[in-house]
Amino acid sequence: MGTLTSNVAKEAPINELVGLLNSFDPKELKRLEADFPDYAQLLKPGITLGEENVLDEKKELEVRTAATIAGLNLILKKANDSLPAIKKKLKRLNNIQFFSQIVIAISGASILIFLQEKYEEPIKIIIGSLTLTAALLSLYVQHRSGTIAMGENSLSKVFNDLTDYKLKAEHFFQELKITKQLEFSASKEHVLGIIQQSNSISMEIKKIIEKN
Amino acid sequence: MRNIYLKFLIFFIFSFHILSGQSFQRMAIPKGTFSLAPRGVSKVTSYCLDLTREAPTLGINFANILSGGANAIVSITNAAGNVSNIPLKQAIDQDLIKIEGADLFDHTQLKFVNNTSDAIEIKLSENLQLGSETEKSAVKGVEKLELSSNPDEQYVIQEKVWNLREEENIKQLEMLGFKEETNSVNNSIWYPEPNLYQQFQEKFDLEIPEENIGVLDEITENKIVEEINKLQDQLTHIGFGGGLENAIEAYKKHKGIETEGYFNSNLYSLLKKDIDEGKFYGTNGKAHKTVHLEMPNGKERFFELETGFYVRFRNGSRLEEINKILENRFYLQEEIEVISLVNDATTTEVLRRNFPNNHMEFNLNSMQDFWQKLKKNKRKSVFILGHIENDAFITPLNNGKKFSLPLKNLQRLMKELDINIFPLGCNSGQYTTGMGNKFNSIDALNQLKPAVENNSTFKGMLQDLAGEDLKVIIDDNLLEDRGYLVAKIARQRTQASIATISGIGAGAGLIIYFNNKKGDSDKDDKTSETSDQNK
Repeated sequence: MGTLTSNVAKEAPINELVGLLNSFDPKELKRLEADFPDYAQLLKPGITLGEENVLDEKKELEVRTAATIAGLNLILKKANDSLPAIKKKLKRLNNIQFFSQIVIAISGASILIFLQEKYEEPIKIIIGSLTLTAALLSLYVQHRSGTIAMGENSLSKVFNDLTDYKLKAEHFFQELKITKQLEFSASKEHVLGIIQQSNSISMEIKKIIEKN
Repeated sequence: MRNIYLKFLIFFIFSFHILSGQSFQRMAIPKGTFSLAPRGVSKVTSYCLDLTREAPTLGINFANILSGGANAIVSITNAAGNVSNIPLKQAIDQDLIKIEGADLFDHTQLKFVNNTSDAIEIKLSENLQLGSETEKSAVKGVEKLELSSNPDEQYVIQEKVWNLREEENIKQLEMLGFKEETNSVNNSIWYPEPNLYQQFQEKFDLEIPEENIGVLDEITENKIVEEINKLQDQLTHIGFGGGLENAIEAYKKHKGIETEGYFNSNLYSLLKKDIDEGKFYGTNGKAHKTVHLEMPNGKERFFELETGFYVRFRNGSRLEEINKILENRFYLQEEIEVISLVNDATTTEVLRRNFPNNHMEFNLNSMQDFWQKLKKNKRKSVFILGHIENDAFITPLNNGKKFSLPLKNLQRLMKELDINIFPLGCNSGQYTTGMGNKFNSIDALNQLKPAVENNSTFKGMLQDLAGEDLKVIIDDNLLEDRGYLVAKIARQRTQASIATISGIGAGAGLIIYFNNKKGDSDKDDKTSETSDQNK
């Protein structure tokens, strides 16, 4: 076993990809297990707590690549499903924001007028409540969409991240398919790098999907 | 003249014996002091130690010291009367003296030859054992033989020496399963047919010169020693130690086979079966199964108590004690904590699901973090799940660095925080109580959950954790009774507090109720008084 062989397990982990497939596309994972019966342990969710012995470098790389391609495919599918929904949410929040700002404006004008006249208590309360509600709604929308503070859970951040991961996944997916067709004649280090990054993306995508 | 010529002719004719590889007898010279004149020759009484071998012949170099030469001194007195003392071996190496065969194939004497022009005295403080140039093995116990330099006593003493030697040899062969009815050593049957040595040589198909068939030559003797050592090792391997004779007797007694001093083929078959089955017999005769597991530093032997549940072999004498200790180590579930040092989302999910109230996820950056969290949580028995490499838990971090927790630090942690730590990592049992193989993180968590929930002793828990895919190794550093009492007391206190509060609450409720009731009845009384007054 040369240096590259012993690095395959360390530099091209696929545990998160396998985890993602296990959660959202177990059939695909079963198919991979059927295609590579000698690598059942590698295609099992979780990680093997121990040094992984790589006996056949080429085969090992083939299995990891196949799992990565399957995982990236799933990521693209999930991203394509989730992005429109998130976009819709953002749009809805945007509309609520717009409506609440109109109400604030009207309420503001109404208050000035009504202050001049004597009106009954309930009407004053209604106008005040409307103004407050509109203001609160506006705050909520801004927080949720992330325009006030771009927190971890803000929709804008999620949308941006998901878009970014989708682009990367597309890029890695195409590269791996080409590399596989060329039977890994390209730089193996490059392939290991793609697998590693795909694994990281997988973890992030899973978090996003589960929260949204 | 004719006599000398005849001796020379016989020597010449039989010289092919020397070239053909015939083994020569090892010889013993009695302790004493021997004087040699300048350029002189002195014959000394000698004793043969190997009955079946060829006696040394005239002129053959016999200066190969096999034993007894450590304190042998040669004193050389020169013409001026100055005396210098040198070790015998040095004198031989410097060719100051020689030791040779004295006569044609004569075992009764050897000769010292002084090659110097000075007087020499050879002082032997113990019996000296000599061999031919190619001899490598020494006969044991020569220093204890009672030998005499008096040639008149040579014959009688020689017989005793031969008897003793052959008895020892035959005893060894008996231990190896060779027994002949006619092998008693006496004057008339020193060469029983078929010869035991020959039987041994044939059984092991030894490649020896034809003239050495039936002779206890060096090859045969070495093979006997090898087989004796092998038998001893085999018996020790299954628990019958001590000297070989005692081991053989103990094994025969254990198997209920009575054969005097004889390890027959039946016993050999039983021994082979025991070895093949990995048996080890404790001091009380109880049989235990042992297996060899592949560990990072090579194959190691363990007692297998159950599938996947092992005790390190070196703890064999404490096996029963260890079993009992673990059976009496109780725990409460609230004292158990499972810490995952595995940076894997699916593993974390399973960890949360299986141990919702007593787990710690991996979100650490340093050893200090880890220490602080352990201290804060105050659990008493901790399972640490993680990948082990080079004797440390290693977790790759997202920033490219690695979190490392050396296994040796666990001992320190255990002492300082007064907690039990079970390292649930690959081959963590290499040096301590832990695991004996590689395994999947999720399998471990899924196996650990029912093991913790369905047991109350550590033995039960670890037995349930162990299996085909999870090998648990027990070593002499067992899990201490740290948490059980504390957790039990804490639980009792909690129960007592709840009972007290409930009791106070109930009591207060009753007081209020009765007070209210009394108040109502007073009110009723007042109302009826008022209405009476109004009437």
